[in-house]
Amino acid sequence: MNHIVCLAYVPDTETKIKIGADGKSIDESDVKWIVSPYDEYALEEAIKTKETKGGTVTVVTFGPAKADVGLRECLARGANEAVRIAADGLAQVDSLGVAKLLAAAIKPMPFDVLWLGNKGVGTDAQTLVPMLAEFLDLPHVNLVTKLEWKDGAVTCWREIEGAKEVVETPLPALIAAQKGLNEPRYASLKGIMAAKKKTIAVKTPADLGVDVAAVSGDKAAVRWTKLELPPARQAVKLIPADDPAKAAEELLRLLRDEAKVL
Amino acid sequence: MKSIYFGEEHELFRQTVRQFVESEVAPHADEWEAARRIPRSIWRRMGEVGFLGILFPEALGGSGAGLFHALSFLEELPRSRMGGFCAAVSVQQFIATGALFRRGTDALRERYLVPSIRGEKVGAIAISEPDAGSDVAAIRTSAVRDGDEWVIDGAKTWITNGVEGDFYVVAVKTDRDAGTGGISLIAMDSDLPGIRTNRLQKMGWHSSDTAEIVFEGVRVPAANLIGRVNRGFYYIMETFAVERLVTAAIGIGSSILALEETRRYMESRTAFGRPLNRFQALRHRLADLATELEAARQLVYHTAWLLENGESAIRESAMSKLLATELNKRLVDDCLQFFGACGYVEEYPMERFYRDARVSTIVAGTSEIMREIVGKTDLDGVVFGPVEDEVSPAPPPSPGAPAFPAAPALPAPLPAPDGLAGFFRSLPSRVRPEKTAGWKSRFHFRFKGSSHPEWTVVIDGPSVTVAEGLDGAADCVVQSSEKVYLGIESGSQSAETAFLMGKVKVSNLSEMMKYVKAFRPVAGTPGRQ
Repeated sequence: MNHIVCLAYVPDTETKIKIGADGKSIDESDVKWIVSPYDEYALEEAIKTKETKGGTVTVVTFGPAKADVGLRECLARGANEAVRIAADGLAQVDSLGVAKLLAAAIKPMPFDVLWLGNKGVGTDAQTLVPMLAEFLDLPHVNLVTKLEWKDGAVTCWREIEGAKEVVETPLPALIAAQKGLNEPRYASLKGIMAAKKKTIAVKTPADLGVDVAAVSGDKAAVRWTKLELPPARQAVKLIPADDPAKAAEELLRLLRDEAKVL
Repeated sequence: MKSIYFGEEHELFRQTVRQFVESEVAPHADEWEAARRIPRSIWRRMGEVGFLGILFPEALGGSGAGLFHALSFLEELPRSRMGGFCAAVSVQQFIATGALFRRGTDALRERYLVPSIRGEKVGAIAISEPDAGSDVAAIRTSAVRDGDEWVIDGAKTWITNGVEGDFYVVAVKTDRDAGTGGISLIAMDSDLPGIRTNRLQKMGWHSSDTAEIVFEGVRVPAANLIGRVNRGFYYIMETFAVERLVTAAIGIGSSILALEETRRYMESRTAFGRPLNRFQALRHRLADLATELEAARQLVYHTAWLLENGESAIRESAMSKLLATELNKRLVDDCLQFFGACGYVEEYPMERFYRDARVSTIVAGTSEIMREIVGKTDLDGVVFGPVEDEVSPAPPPSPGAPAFPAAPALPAPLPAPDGLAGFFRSLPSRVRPEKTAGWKSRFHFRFKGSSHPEWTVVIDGPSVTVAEGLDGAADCVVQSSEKVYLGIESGSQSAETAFLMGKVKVSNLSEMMKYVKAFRPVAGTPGRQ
């Protein structure tokens, strides 16, 4: 069984995000980059499945040259091949554009399962999975926390509000991983040493026959016009609790009049 | 590019180690320190992810990586927040198993090294005794051959992993009268009859066990001898540079973490209406510490680079150990001061950092020993050569065991010539033409107090001429005593040990190393055997 895993290389979830000088992008100068955690669940499941059922795992990303570090980490964990669609020097590409680029890169590659994280920890748009499934004409199941392989099909447990839904899909299919699916492994040193020797295939949008100008910058369907940081947290307000009844009354008043949550 | 030594794959490994230590080790620090032990599960977990065989080849389950991977690992280990954990893990991987790997038979490697790389067995190296530390020649624990076994009696102390460990590599006297030339290394299970251990209660390093070990008539199979009999001192020396580098790297990593914690504290703690990191007196002290740390770190990297490039780096590894551990001791003291009273309580990290750092200038050779080594190189002109065991190849691989590069077989020694003159006159007949091809060099030898004090040896490809007296301009001048030189020539004394002890001075080391390899050895001197 062959697997393709799409992944996003995103700012570390612990990064203190700063807004760039243009007011609509983040200041990347101090950012540490990581493979998006949900994509790590997808990668882990693909590698685990490969280890028991054979086949290969190919990782694909759309990103600038620094994303090679993330791809190499995936190779170190057990992916066989890596492809990067070069984003160097491009204006902002929206999810639709990314889906077109990924679909163009994936189309000629044979696979049984296409994996993604349920969302990319970055823009958190959560639109890539259905778009990619549409462009590749694949059934897709998202929010998956458990899988059971069958001959030519897979049963998926997916999270829905307050319950689990069990669905079955024929292969090939797109599966989007949710937290809880597995515990991603560490890259072993042996894997890191072996990954060093592998080459990452770099393709430009032109190589893939995608007119990137039509899906980026001013032509993108979704454009970022402004970024704002959440308001700074205000000082904690302590309510004296000498008289519990009065304190409860005061708390209710504050929640209603000041916080406006009631 | 941020470093000439570290590439992307080192950085990836460092991040992996950091993530592992921060999430799977550090959260247990208080618990393991209180229990004064490290659970077996974490050894196996580290074995799984390949953290315990960084330098060992893949055939043994290792990763076949280099010293800069090891440094990446060692600098991150202190994030466990346990000096004891760092000690236990680094001893297992870089110190206890070095001789087993380089000199042990395949059977010994299979029995002890392979499971230690997997994290299934924990190892210790037992050299120090109540009356012998860096003065290895003074050890008294003895091994006497009895049929197919060694019988071991004596006591060891300050042995990391000595109580919890599954196996020991023990330095023993196999020739009571021979000093450094009478020491051997023997590997053994730690639960043999006659072995008793006692856990020492220490100021710091609580999670690591430090043991006194008593051996009473302990019987060990003869095949457990590592390498050759009476060559143990030499094998111990082979690991010294790496051991010092390892200790230095942990000191650097500990200092990096202490500064990090201190910067965080100085940002959050306010006094007189502003954060501590706005007070110039503190800022300047922190700047000094950061500067010294950067300098020490670069020395450690340079030393690793020398070792990776085949240099013995005895001087630089001693300097690295001295500088990095002395700095760590002072740095945690200063940082504790920045924390004020919070530095002194167990809730904050500095209290343990302070206790754990203290021993670093004592273990793996005290600062005083390190200074002695630097004194020898820089004041006495001693040149330490690379450690190579020309006369004792590793034992041949046993059948069925994994293949290992075997050392080439050497021709039988020639009969011993008589006296200093005899040795020199025999040189032309002992030359190895394949080693001298295309090489021209002139050596002067000076022997203080000898009746034949001066010799000139001229090498010109396969032709070697020897004359008494000093003639022409020498490429290399060798000064020693007749006794030491005869000892080296007859194989009863290793050239490297003689360098280490300052008994031979060489003006041009690379020429001398070529010289040492250029002649076949002779048999032992009469009266010595």
